[in-house]
Amino acid sequence: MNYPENIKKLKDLLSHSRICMLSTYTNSEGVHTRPMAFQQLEEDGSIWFFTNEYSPKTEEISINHEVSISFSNESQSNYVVLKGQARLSKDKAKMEELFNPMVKVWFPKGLDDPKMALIKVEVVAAEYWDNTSSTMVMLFNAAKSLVTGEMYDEGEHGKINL
Amino acid sequence: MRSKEKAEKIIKLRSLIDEVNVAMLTTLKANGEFYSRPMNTMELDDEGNIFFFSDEHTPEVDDIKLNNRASVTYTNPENNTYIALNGKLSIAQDQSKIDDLWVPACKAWFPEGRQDPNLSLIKVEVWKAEYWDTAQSDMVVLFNMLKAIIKGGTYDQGEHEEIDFKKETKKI
Repeated sequence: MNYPENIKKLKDLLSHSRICMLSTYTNSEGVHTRPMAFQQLEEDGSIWFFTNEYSPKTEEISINHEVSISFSNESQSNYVVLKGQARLSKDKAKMEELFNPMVKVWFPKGLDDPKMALIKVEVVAAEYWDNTSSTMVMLFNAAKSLVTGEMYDEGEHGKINL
Repeated sequence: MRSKEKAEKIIKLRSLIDEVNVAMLTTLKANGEFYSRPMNTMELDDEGNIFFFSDEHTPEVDDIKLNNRASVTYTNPENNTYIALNGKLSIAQDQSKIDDLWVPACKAWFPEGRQDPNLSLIKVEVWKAEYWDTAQSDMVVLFNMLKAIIKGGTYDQGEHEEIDFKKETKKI
């Protein structure tokens, strides 16, 4: 399996997901998690979220870029966990590209809202739990390559109590 | 918070998570990386503790020893329930509690039964509970959003209520 195929597999796994849980690091709580509207996984493996520029999560990612994103759907036994690095972006062209009526719920002024910003997460690792065996499957782990020189790690490893 | 008030909030929380068995448990590894995995919820007790069965030899147990602050989330996309809890995580070596929570289905992971040497109990003492409720939530609920879009106003943030069990713990 090569990298684009892993992205394709991941896209398939996330194709019905509209909401995910985004975890950031905070000194006070350790892990701070909230639901976020999920749009899509980009071809380059990144995920973009709309955010208020002055929300706690933007401050949290400015201190620590590491985030975890999880998708759970119990009725479909679909569990996906991503890890990546998050950064705030004010990329106007990207906002225009991603903007849709749902975003108006949070930004009634639309693209002219000065508080509107984006969070870009560059996904470096992806895991899912196989719904027949409850076995965790690592789709890719680019972070690992920095340490071991291996490009991607894949295949089943570890059993999780589901 | 008075005990009666706390009991009512735990009942409310239990009603919210009753629809979802599998939690996403997130802790921090020693190297600062997040570690998230789905876990089957065994119980939310009257004190606000959540219990999971775990394999003592899996990495999460070592992580817990280093950092005991955990996030536990429950999501149910079918009815748009999103719950985020924070708590203190510990390994409870409590055979009588394991006996209480044991159900035959657990044998799939612990073939030797409730005495399985690999079986340990993860306890999360919940100190903060947040949820985003379907009907009045600020989360993505299509018909409500349409209403907000038509009205042209800011969407009603709705019932985004924090149930704070132990305010003092937040200072730590």
